[in-house]
Amino acid sequence: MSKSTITDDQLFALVREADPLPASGGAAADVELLRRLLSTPRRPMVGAPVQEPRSLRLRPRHALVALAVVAAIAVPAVAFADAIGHLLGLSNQGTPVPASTLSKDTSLARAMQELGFPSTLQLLGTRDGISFYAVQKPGGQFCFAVTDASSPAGARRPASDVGCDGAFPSAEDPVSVSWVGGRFAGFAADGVASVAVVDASGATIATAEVRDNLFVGGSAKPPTGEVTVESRDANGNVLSTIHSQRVEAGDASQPYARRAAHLHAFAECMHKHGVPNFPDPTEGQFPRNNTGQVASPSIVEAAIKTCLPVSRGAHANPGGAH
Amino acid sequence: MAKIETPDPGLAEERFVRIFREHHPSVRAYVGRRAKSELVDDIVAETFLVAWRRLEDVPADARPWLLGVARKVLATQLRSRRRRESLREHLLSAAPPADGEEHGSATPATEALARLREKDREAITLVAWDGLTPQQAAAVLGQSSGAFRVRLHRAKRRLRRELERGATSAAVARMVSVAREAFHE
Repeated sequence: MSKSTITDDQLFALVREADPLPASGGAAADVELLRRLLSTPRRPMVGAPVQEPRSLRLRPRHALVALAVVAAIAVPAVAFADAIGHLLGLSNQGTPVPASTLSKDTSLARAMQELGFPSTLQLLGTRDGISFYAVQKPGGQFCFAVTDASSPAGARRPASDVGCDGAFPSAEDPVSVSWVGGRFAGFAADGVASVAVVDASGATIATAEVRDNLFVGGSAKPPTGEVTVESRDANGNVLSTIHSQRVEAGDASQPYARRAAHLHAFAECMHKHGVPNFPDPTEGQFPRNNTGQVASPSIVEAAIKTCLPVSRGAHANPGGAH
Repeated sequence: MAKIETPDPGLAEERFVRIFREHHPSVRAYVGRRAKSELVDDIVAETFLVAWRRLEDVPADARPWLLGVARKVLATQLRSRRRRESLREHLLSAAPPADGEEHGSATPATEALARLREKDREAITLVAWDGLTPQQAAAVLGQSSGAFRVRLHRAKRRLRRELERGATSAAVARMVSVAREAFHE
């Protein structure tokens, strides 16, 4: 590779241009925060919420436990000593079923393939017509699939959802939420007795009791704005709150499997209409970084015009499964 | 690291107030660059709470220590539901999708930084955005100065490479942008 012509000074000047908070050093100190801190007793800390900036070399298993404990101490809402020990997993181990069980739902099957699901899943149970599947990939990451068998064919409401969540189940991330068949459903770690979704105005828009690590709420519209998912223990204590604009991966109103089907349909159409190097979607979205070359922008324009309606047609009935 | 003993509560308070007034803006800026706005206040408060309770551990050059704590608090927050709510995502959400015609606030460096690995990006931004010396940045990361210099050197090399190959096909970028917008209606 030829030597770069960008000097260090030029490089740092470019990076400073990308600073999202340029010239912010003059911001005034927060007097109210200072007052609150000074009124806090300086008692010795038994367990540090945050370790000093010094690298700790723990074995992975130990690190996981340490993380969970740190997270539990750091978040006051989670500071219920009795509950912490139970918030580290799913007791419901389910029963093994072949992944091909779900192959009828082509969009779901495709999404599972894309996410690297193994050939055997654990069926954790079926509640109110919704089946819950979990699997642990060889790398240790948990993936989940939820399907609503009762959703009629051709329904506009998403009937399945799938995703891989790096943090769930843990003390800081004890629930995984989906919206399928117009209902609020998902998985909850041990120790979580109920789950509630609260909208930006503070109104509870859905609640569900947890049984065997699974929950299904009543009919509810998927939230479109910022929501908070609260997990609560059997005494009603809030164990954790997750603030998110998205309840599940991507747009909550358009679960992963369906969105992936739309994106694949669009990419395939583009390939057929003169843009063979249009990127395939990965993890439910088109990649942002593209290095491919295109012969003619006019071909691209024409392909987009052709393919957008085609892929929107797929919205109504992706793979014929919904 | 030498501890600074402040057994007198009055002296401890005085020292903390001095540290807070001197470093609150830079801690807030550090967090603000890397976290969603709704999380910034909590992370800053948590950082100074640790400093208040561990005042004896705060060295004379407090800023790297404070940023190191902020970094840990930030990591704990971001480790929650979606890891992608990281600086990379923060950068990409601040910048509009790649578009050959409408760059908006996206700069080539924004895009290039977003493509770097977290470790490389962290090394570069601690120096360029937070104005730390390599020695201070090393303290933030809990590394030796030597190790940090190597890390920074590699990060700069990778950033140059990303900048130089950053001229992606405008047509592809544009069509992906159109597609992304269409699917997020």
